[in-house]
Amino acid sequence: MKKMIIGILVSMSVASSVIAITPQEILEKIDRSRAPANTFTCKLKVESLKEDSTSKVELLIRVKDAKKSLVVYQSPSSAKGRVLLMVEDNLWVYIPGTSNPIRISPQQQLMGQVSNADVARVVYSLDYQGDSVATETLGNEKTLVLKLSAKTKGAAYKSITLWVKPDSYLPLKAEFYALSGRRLKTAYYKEYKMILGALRPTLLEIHDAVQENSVTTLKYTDFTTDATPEAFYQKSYMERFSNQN
Amino acid sequence: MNSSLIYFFSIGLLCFPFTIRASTSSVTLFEQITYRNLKPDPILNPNQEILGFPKGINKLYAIADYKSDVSETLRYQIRYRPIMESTRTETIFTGILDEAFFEWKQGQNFIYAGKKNNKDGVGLSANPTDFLGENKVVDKTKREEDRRIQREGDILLGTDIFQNNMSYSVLVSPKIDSIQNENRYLLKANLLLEELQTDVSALYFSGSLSGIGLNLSTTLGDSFVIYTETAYRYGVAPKKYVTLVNDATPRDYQIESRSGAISYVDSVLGGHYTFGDASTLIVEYYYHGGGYSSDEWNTISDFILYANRQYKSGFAPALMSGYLQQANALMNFGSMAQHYGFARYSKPSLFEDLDISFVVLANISDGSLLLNPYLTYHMGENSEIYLSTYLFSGTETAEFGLPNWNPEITMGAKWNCF
Repeated sequence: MKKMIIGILVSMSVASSVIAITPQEILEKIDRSRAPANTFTCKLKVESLKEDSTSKVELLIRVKDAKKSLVVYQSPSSAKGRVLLMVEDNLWVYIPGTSNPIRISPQQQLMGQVSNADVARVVYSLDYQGDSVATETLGNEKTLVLKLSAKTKGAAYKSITLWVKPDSYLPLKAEFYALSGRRLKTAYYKEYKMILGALRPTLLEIHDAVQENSVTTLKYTDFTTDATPEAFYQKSYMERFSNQN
Repeated sequence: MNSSLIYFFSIGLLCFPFTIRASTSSVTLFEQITYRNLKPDPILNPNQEILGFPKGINKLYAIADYKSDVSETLRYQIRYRPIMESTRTETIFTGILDEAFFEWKQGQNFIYAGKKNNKDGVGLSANPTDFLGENKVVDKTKREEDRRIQREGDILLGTDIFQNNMSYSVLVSPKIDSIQNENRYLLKANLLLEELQTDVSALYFSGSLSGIGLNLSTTLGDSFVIYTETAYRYGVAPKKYVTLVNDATPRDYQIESRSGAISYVDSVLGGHYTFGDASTLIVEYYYHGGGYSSDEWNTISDFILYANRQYKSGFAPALMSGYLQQANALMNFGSMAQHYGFARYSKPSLFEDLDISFVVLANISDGSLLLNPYLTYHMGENSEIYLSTYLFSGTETAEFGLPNWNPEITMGAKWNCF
């Protein structure tokens, strides 16, 4: 009887905490676990695994006020020095040797299942709004399921479904959907580590919805809160970022 | 000051005696074979007798980059291209110093001096606002974006000033005997209108053919980019005109530049769409006010036809041969007419390691076409092989009917050494 009462109280507590917090607030908490601050730098290794081949790209990412990001290619040598700049929904690529960055669309692919916007945009709340939240069991774990829909024209996906831990709001899984409603890919957040004062996922494993053997991993390391002057986040500065490693 | 002095100056930079904070270097090696299927009796080169064109060209070259930070505020950068070009009859070695410059940083502002490859514009098939780079020698066997990378810079002094979402530049490129034949300067302002997802560049260029330029590009949704690039040009055009001076026998033609001032507009309007399968389509219209009008082109066509017919009939062969040589020198395929259409479809990662693209460049005035399928096969992370074909289509006096060969096939390998 005592256990039953405690169970009911715990359930009520979880339910009331879910009700007390809006989908948008949950989304902001998820973003805070993915990005250590609004302004930070980190390194990212993107590895695309297919049936009989592997390709790798190493990137340096600088984020300013969450909405401006710079991605500098460090390897392979064929792409070294290439720079992506994203300011809101504006995206440019700079190819070493020419001082003329080209505007590109967020949908253009980086490699494997990863678009430029996937790498350059580190938070969801800029492009998506939380619509609803529910509870669901994922494997053996109870989770909150958050439905997101695109709120900007430049959002790479029509909608996203996110599975998060109910206590810490750490993301576990995400499904990304196209305009047609077709599922494009599924991502799993893994390898949680203490970084800059909080537990954060450092590995994102992305599975293609069609080619099931095709997997892309994004491994984040070397987080710091270095700041770069805001004036340098513009296309005419990209050549100079290309020289940095 | 001459080119050899600049060369040794740049080599000297490599041995710069200061303590270097950080440096990066890279070398990319290219081996490329081009085969031209020479026409047996092209209109510009009857029976291939006027000019000798090689059937095959082997080009082995490298692009070597060196970038170094001397201190927090000072850095320098060098780009050098050694080239060995061989045909059946000769081998030529050249070295082109594309860039060698110092840059000083003062807060959010920069001052640079030396040789620098400045590039402006948002178009792919043409860049009307690329004022400093417009007369550069480019390798047209390369893809449009690679042509911009593999070209020689200008000796200049410049400054860039950065503010939030804005930057301003002033570049001065002086006249230097045997290197740069006039004083030029360029003023630029770049602005990002974040809310409108649009960036704007305004340019003012002063030279013998001055210009005012405006570039706009914007993103629509998550897959579509549109852009426009426009220049108003005024001054003395380098273009050569063909004039029938005397309709006697033989006809007297003059081929020369005109000294009077002219003005015209050059403009590119384009869009770039990314499909769900990651393939992209770029479509551009290029209005080239500096190109030959229909009347001017008709005069050129008459001139070529006349010289060809008379030469083949044996009439005044030395004069006709001279006319045909001058006609060949006029040819700058892809930028002679006033109306062009350009389309490029690209599909990356086909069968994982193969990129394909197909380019169509159309002279809208005469209906002639240049078709360019391009295949790139990636062999690991640092090397690739490529195969490209230029197919020309058009009547005998249409722009893309005139080339002395058809098709031209290029195959090559690229290796990023480090």
